[in-house]
Amino acid sequence: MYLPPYAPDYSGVCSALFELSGIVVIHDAGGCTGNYTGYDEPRWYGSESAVFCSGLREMDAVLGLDNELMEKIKIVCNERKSPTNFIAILGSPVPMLIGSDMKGIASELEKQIHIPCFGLDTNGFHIYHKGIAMAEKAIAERFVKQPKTKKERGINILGMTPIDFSLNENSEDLKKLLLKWGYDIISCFSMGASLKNIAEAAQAKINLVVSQGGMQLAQWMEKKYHIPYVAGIAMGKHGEICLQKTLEKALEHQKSYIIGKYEYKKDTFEKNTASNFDLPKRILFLGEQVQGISWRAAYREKHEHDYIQIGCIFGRDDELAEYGDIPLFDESDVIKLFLSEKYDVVIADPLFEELIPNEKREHTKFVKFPHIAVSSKIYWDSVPRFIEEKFESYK
Amino acid sequence: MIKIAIYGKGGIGKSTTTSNLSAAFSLMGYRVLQVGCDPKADSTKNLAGYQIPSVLDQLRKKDNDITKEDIVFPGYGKTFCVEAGGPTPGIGCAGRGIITAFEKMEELGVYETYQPDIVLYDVLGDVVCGGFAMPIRQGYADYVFIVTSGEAMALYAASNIAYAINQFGTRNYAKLGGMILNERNVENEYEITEKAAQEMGSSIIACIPRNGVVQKAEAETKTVIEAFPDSEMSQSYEHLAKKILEVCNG
Repeated sequence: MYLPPYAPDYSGVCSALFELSGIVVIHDAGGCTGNYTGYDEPRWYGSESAVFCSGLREMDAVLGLDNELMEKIKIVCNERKSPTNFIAILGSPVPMLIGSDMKGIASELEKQIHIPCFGLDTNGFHIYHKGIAMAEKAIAERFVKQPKTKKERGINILGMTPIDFSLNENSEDLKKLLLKWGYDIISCFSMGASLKNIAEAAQAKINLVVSQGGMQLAQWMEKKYHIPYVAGIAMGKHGEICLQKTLEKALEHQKSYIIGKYEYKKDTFEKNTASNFDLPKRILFLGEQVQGISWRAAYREKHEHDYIQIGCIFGRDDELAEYGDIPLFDESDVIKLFLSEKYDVVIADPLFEELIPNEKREHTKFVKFPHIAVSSKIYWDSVPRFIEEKFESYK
Repeated sequence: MIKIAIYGKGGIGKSTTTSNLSAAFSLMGYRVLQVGCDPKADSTKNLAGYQIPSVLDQLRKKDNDITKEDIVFPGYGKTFCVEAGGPTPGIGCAGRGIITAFEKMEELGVYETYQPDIVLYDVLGDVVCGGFAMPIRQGYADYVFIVTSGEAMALYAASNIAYAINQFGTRNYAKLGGMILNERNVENEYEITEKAAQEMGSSIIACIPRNGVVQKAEAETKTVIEAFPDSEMSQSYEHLAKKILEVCNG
């Protein structure tokens, strides 16, 4: 065992809701809440965000004491000094196993206290981006209003949390770029926006999806409000060129695009990956998929020739993937991949370095690219500013 | 799409009733999906003509990598059959198994693909835990009908199910549509059952008489509607199907 468990779905929900002045209750015995606050949330210490543990105990689970949970939440609501915009009630492994009805509990509570309540079926077995997706969609479904007008260069950012972007300048760097290109940022799910901004999100002409967690909301908004989306971020100078071109194309044609996506066919892929291929380098990006495809797009913008494969450690979204991008469900899949394939360069969280077999280390350059969902606080101060101009893809 | 859950005590005749209802609805021109929610996984046996593999069997066998075709099987007329299944007896959690099967059906888009006009969930009602209550919740069923006889244990189970439905009353979930009396020739059976039903805030919507033709049809692994379409029992099931639609359509 080399890796700690990745950040789970409830951490994704909490992270996405952190800034919106709601009450978030994780229905658990304490370990899940502690995992989120202690390991997945760099904003936690010193913050006033209301994330609570329900204190689930054996008899609560055995007897299904939903009413006690609701009473506890009411007490928190009454004692809270600042206004509560909403209440989110999250599941954890035990409620999932006994079939607790999180949505039903939320709906019943809302009738009693007249504050918007959401029940979210997190269970701790899914990866954080599923939680981000759940939370952002729940917030959008409840608070986004039908637009009376559209803003010509109005844009929303979807799927942005510190789990993927850290607390360095990445989020602000991306927003500055969009402003520089003349976009009007209406709302940013889920860093730096209020519910008032979110209510206006449907006025946008385009959505920018910056992580796997933002895809579900983008697809929902495309269907409901006819807003196309671009999935991608600007990684370095060449990434900027790529993203700007893609956004302008999507805005002009009102059509969705995935940054830098090649429609590879199977034979092209096999030719490129054959053992005698003549490409200069074979590169593996292990990590979050939107970061991976954006890094690849930036790299291609500059170099074009090397073969880059994305190892989707948080699950593969087929819409984002190219032929050859591989889902890697756990560390054993990564180890098998390293044993069977040869890479010149591996870009990944530092904790993955140990997984490269000794005999291959000498020939493989390992580029450290920390991700909070993998290594948590060990490296969260070392996440690079990957949006800024001087960030360069490896050559 | 009308979504109906049929609950009742184990052995009371839920699966026989549900399968015959599916066949009767099919004869009326509806596309029907019957979902067996019992670890025994034999709800649809007479509708499909054989015991189909359950969702949990397939998940176990194929390591979670399954398709719609692995779990949905055609039955008599325009019916489709799914069995949720259960864990190995003695271990695991049967209730959680139902939830997993339901989640898998949603994930695979079973309802969108087969587009049934009517969905019938056939649910074991002896244990009303979070898993076996799943068909009542979150929009799975619009109405619950309880199969019972006049026997005390059957009425006790019916009362538990009615209690669970009332528990969910504030959550806008399934409503109790009524009782189906599957007669066991108990003395004063109708009166006893109707009194109990009223105490549960309900009433009997139809009676299914006891008749040996049911066993004859089962011996052929068929529903009564398929095996003996002109029999009085077939008419009873067709009558029940109409009554259920009347309740569901208000």
